[in-house]
Amino acid sequence: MIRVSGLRKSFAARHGTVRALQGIDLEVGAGEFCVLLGPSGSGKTTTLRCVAGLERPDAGEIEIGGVLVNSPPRGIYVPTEKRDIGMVFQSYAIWPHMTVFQNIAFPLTQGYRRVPKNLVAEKVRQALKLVQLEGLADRPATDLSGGQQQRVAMARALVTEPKILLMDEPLSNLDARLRERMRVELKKITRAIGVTTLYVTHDQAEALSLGDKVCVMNDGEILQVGRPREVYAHPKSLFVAQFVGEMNLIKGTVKDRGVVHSPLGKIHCRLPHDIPSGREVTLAIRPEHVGLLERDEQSSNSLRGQVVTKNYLGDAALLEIEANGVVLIVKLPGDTDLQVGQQASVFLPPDRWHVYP
Amino acid sequence: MKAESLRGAVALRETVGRIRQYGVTAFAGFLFVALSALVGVPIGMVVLMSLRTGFPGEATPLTLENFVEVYSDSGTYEILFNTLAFAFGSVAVALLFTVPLVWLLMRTDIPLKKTIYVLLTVGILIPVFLRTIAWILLLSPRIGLINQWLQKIFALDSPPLSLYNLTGMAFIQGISFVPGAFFMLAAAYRAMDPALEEAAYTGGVSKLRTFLKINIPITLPAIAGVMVYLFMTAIAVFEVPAIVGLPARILVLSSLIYQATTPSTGLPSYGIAGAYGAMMLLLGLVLAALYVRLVKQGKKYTVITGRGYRPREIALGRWKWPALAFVFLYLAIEVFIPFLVLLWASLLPYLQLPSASALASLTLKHYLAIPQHTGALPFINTIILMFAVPTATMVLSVLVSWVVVRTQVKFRGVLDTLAFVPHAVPGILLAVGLAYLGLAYRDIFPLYGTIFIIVLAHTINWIAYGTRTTNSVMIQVHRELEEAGKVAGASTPRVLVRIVIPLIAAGIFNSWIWIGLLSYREVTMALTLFTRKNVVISTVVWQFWGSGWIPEVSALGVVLILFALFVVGVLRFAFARVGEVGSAA
Amino acid sequence: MKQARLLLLAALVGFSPANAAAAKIDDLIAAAKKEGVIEFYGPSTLGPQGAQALAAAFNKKYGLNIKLNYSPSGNMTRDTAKVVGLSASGVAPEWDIMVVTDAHHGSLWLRKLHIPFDYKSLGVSPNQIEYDSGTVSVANQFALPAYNKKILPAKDVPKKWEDLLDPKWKGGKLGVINSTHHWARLAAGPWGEEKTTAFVKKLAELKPTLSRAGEMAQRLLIGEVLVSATLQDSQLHEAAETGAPLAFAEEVSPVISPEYHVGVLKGAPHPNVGHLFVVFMTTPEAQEVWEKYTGHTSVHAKGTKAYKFAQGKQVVFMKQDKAEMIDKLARQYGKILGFDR
Repeated sequence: MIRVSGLRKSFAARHGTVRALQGIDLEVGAGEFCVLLGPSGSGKTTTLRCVAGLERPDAGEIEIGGVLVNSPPRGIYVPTEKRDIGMVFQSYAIWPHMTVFQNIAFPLTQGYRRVPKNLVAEKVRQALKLVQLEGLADRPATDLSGGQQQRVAMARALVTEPKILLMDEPLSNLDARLRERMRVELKKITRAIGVTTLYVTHDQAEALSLGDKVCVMNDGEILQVGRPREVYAHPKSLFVAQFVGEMNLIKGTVKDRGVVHSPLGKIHCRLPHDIPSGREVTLAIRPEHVGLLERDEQSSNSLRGQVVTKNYLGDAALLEIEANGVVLIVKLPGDTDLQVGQQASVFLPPDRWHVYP
Repeated sequence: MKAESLRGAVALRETVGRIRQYGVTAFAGFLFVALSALVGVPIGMVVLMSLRTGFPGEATPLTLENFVEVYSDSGTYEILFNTLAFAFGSVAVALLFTVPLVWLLMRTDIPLKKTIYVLLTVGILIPVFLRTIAWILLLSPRIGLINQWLQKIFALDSPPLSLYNLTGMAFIQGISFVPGAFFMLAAAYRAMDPALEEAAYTGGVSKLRTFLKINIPITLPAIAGVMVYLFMTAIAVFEVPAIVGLPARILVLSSLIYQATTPSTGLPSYGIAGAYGAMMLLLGLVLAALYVRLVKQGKKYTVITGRGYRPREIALGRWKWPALAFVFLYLAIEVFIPFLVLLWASLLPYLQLPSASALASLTLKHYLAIPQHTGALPFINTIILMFAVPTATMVLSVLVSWVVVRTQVKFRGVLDTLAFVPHAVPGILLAVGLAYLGLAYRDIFPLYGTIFIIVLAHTINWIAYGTRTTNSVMIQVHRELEEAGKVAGASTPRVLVRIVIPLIAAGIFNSWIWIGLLSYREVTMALTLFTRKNVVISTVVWQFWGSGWIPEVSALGVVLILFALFVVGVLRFAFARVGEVGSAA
Repeated sequence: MKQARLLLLAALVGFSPANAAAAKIDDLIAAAKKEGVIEFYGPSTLGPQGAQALAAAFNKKYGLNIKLNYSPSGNMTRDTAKVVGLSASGVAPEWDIMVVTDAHHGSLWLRKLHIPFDYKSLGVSPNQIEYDSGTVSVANQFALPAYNKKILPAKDVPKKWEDLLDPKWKGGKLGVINSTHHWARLAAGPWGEEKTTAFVKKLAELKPTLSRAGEMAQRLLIGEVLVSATLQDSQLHEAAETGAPLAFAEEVSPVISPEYHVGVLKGAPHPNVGHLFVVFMTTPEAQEVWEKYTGHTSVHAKGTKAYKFAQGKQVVFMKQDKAEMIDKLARQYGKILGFDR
């Protein structure tokens, strides 16, 4: 549905040029919900804006629904308004001089995808129903709360039944609880109408919960593309490992096959084949994969440590354990009895380690 | 014991806190009183003047005689109609050029932007009545070159165009309003969230339609503010009415006020001027009320986000050349043609139409004679004016805006409206009021005949413009930045000086330069308050013109424009990142 | 007291006016010497250099060392109004003497704001003395129809005032300047009010191009206006200096002559220097300086440019009893012509 290849874009900045995109390749299938995840400045918003046609890339092709909308060598550039898209902005961009109805009807009455007049009211009603704002049609748009404005923005983006929906951090201005609720709702709405969605966020939890597919970006490049579970379970690079979810990182040196010497001691883990002995590597393990036992247990992959802090979250507890001078974060169920100052055995399962050169 | 001293400390802190709170309110109150005096006293003088028949200083009983004389004359209403038609026409012409210009320069990739900015800034430096000579040479029914060409080309019996009517007047005046209106509107444009436009594009709406249905309505309060300002300026100016209106017997209120205060024989009739002024005042107050209502509706329009990116410029593509042609057509009208005419006139021994014999008589003597004709005084006074007016205006504006935008003082809305009122009071009335004050009460107001009475008039006149821009600049500085300063333990004035002002410095600097330029060009007020000790360049130019010293005044004009072009060009290219010189934010 | 004694002395010496004048002027010089300063308000065309040249000639003539402070006129009308205002609130004027037009002095005279002085006894010609001995005429301007020699054919040059009413000037080819007092002077003089008002009305019917004087000269130069119904010689004087082809229709008669008067203001701080200076202004020495710097001279001083110009012409001067009438008619004509409502 969306195909992006070799996308490049530079901006002139105060000190030379900034290469915002350095060759982006991306495919989003019909009906798929694809999330672009990355820190600020990673190029995710620029990618989205290129797909929208709000930025003009220096190189690369963009195809929407089989139509080539951007190809500099072939001189093809379809302006934003002629692309079959809908978009939700971070600031919602609700037009303050119009009512809710007028906002939503605007693309239908003024746009290239306008519909016969007699259909407008019905389409707007359907869109309002979709976002559960029935009955607010005649309110001035600026009278609405943030969450409601967000819904209006959604309705306006979807009212033309576009092939693709673009969203630029739409939930970042909402409070935490509302954000969670909208997340679920967003997923429901997009699934219900089967629209292909490209979604930008810097919040990894949002990315994992919403996406059918997550693209992790940094420095204008896509580092990894995959199903959320895949990206979380098998981060291909240290950056992805760190950015998606929590990680304990320990530097070490490869000695024998399957053994890495580190400040923690000898660690047994599965090493990729291409890593020779003597090589410096970074080991990574998720807090929920670190085992912790009160009693003393002797095993090759366990060591003694002391609880330094405890961060109780209700359903879970995050503990910092100091072992051999290294601090590890451990995630345990909320009902753990371990207290600060207590000794414990730390267990590090060999198959849970990720190794990065 | 310990508990007691603790309680004492708490009580003390509470008292200090209360004093601080009162301090802000008291400060706002002080500003309110100062502004009321600045705006109210000249207006009060106009009213007083209209109720007396004698001269400033003569204690005469109050009377309605002037009103009876003015308003029982049916001709007055004809002139009122002329005035309104002229003002509406000028504003329409100004907006017709300004709004597309703002859009082209702020949102599209039109080439030569920097050059256009510089030329726009230079445009305001050409005195309106010198520009008018150019128009007489082009469009006069008898000698206008364009008329002659048109007659030749289409074999017409009579000249097709004439300058000497309301349309011609509105055209010339409207054109000269464009740069000022441009920089005022550009500020509002910059404050608008670009996502509002982009949302329309992604909704499938074309650029033009977005401009008409989204940009214009959202910036409507700003456009309305500019319109009120232009309208009242159009009502007050008298250069164009004097040069283009008078020859065809088209009189407007300002020409009557000028005539009444500066008759060719006899003594000024301040009372009559005041009675005409009362009509202007009423008009202004009605407009101000309309504006305030509009802005109340528009308050919620101020959609400003913290997003750092600038919107992408719209690619004009094949429309690039027509767009550039439009801009340069305007610049030709505004800058190039008047400048060429000025240059031509300055090189001749006396004003002539272009011809071989005229070409043979070109001379530089008028340039060499400039210092001898003017002396140093007008330059010194103008420099004082160009520093004192923007400084006073911006200091007052920052303080007022800070109270309006940042504090919770109850009457901050009233303060804001009060600061807008000068927009709706024609400059000529402010000046006449101040002149009357200076003449009648010189013991308590000993400024008559000094440059400072002009400084005062200009400051009052531009306080509205100043506060509009400082308001919009101040809104863009997030409140939390200021609160962080307070949390860090800095006092309110310190936060203002160390945090707020540095953050808004660029915007303030731009307005400062802009007000300086407006002050430089302003002639209506300066002339009304003019004595021989407070001559400024603009009044010298007017006097030269009045004495028929066209070549001399043209030479002076050329020198000033070249100088300004140099200064503005350097500033603009050197400080390109600070923002457009002369723009507001 | 002193003056009375002097008069007595003059009578005793034997009715010789010359002697009396001499004696009186000596006394005035002595009184002036004590005051030492004069505040002088005059046309800006004189310039600071001209003013000092005038002071030097004055001091030389009377053997004095008076300091002259020159205030060039910014706006005669408003400055005259300022004098009226100051006097109304009982404050002394800023200037001892003012050189302004006869019309402005008329406004002052109506409010009795001059110190009258027996200028005649000091040898000033009586036809130069005006406003109940409050002022003395020092220079004359002339107003006549004017045209551009290069553009207007000789046959079209007006020969009498009535030629201005020819329908051929319709469509703005004729210009009228805002000095509407020119017409009022004709009305107060040889023409009478009725004839002049009819004339002005006919002028207005031609829908002439209206302008201020300096601007009208430019319109003549570029050919926008072919004939200006009146223009003053100051504009022609300037034009002549630059070689511009402006000329008076010299056959037209009578010639209107607005005058510059000088007078001592009521409450002036230095009245004796003031009166002496007023007398001085009529002398050939003063006239020479005045002509050099302003281009104007008095028709009453033999041999001056103005004197020569006026020879054989009927010249219309303004008399004090007509001041009020001229002011009133100038406003009325302004309205008829369209300068004002």
